[in-house]
Amino acid sequence: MAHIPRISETEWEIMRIVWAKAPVTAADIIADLIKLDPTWHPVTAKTLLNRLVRKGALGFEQQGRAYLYKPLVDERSCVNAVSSSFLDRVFGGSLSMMVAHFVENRKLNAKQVKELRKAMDGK
Amino acid sequence: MEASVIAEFFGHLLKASWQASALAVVVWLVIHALGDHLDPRWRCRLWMLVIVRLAWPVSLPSPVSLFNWVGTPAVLDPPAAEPSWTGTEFLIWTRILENPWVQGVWAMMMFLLVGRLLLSSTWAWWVQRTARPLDSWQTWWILQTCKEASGCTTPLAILESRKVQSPCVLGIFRPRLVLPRGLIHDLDSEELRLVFLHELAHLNRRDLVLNWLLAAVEIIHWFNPVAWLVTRQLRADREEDCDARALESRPESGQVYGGVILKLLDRVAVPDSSVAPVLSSRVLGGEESEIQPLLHRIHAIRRFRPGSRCRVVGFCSWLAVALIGLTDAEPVRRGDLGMDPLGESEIAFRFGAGRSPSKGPAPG
Repeated sequence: MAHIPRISETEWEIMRIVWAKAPVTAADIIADLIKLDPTWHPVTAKTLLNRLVRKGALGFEQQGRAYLYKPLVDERSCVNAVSSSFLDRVFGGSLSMMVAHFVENRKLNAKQVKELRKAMDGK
Repeated sequence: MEASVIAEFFGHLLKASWQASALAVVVWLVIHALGDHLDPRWRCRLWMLVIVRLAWPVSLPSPVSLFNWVGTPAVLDPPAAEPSWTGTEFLIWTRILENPWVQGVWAMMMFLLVGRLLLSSTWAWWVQRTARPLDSWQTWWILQTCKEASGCTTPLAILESRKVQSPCVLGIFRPRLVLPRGLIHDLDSEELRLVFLHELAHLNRRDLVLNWLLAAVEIIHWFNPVAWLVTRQLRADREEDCDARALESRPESGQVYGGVILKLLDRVAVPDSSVAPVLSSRVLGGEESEIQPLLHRIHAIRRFRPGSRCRVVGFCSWLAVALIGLTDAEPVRRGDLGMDPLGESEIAFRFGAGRSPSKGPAPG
């Protein structure tokens, strides 16, 4: 299984933009970050971009003088990696017994989701 | 004295447990007999009768009680010097409870379950603490219209968090609606509306308080598998009730509603080949049993029609089960059971037949 890098809260913001718009330049990423949250500083964003490249979450290719960034890991794998902490593994969904969910925490596989979709379509 | 108090406490605990188990069988039979004539709201209320029975062991005697025919009735006029348990039962209980293995297992189970509850509360607090307020006035506006439609007046903040995979409400005193990070980009306004109506239904039903009651019942009655089955079924039926409440105001949105459930499951689905790392129902029943509650829910959403079920049927069945299940058997007198209220047999044995200890020597 490919190594899924640990991504921090702030790095996650950058990854979402790259997943949505890849390949994308650093300037476009910074512009989108500032649109969402004006307190972002370009220097901070560049530091985090370099960190993500070093972690193996982002790759880049040079086009003329610009660098275009693209993700090296898919979003779903990262979501699963974040939520499969040690406590999740031991207690499963029972850690959330004090909340009221829309859908109970269940990690179903694609085959099970397909079966539920067939039931919804009445097949 | 202390041993008798403990034995009496466990006596009441076991009595509540077996009576609730008998009541659970009755509730299950009623639910299956009435089938689609009973909506999930009344199914939840029927299961709540079992929870009440588990949580409150004391009840009034009644001639219509189920326990007049099931179990041993209480005995009137126990001798004043003895506890309410007879000598033999008392000895059995004290022997069992004195066993260090029994005490060890009991203590360990209580520790694990209370620990699990504390961890869950800590996780819920941590989610609230680390979640970000949602900065989207459109989403806030959708929530306000849903609150008006559902009659919910509880102040409710919307937060985003990466620690939850499904929208949820948490916090008994200051409830918050927490959405998975990025969900508002994946759902359109109609889908968000349905999610909010479902979560507001949980708030209207006071399900966050109910969670604590169910957790307490599971801890106290940890040894009774029926208690676990009932709490699990109640949770499943309450999800269907919340689905029905959400669809009541938008009955044409059944297909969209089911689609939202599938979208959320798809977001966190694992690859087919992965081995489930969690101790979940995969261990107990395999892949099929894992999706049974969801399949049931999806079928209910597809079949939903507003106002299609008779409320009178639900109310009458609930009332009947409450009357027979929440009451106790009428106590019988010792004499009626062939018992010896004045200890005549003991007197005859110790002092000879035809005499009492207060009289003089036997004639002749």
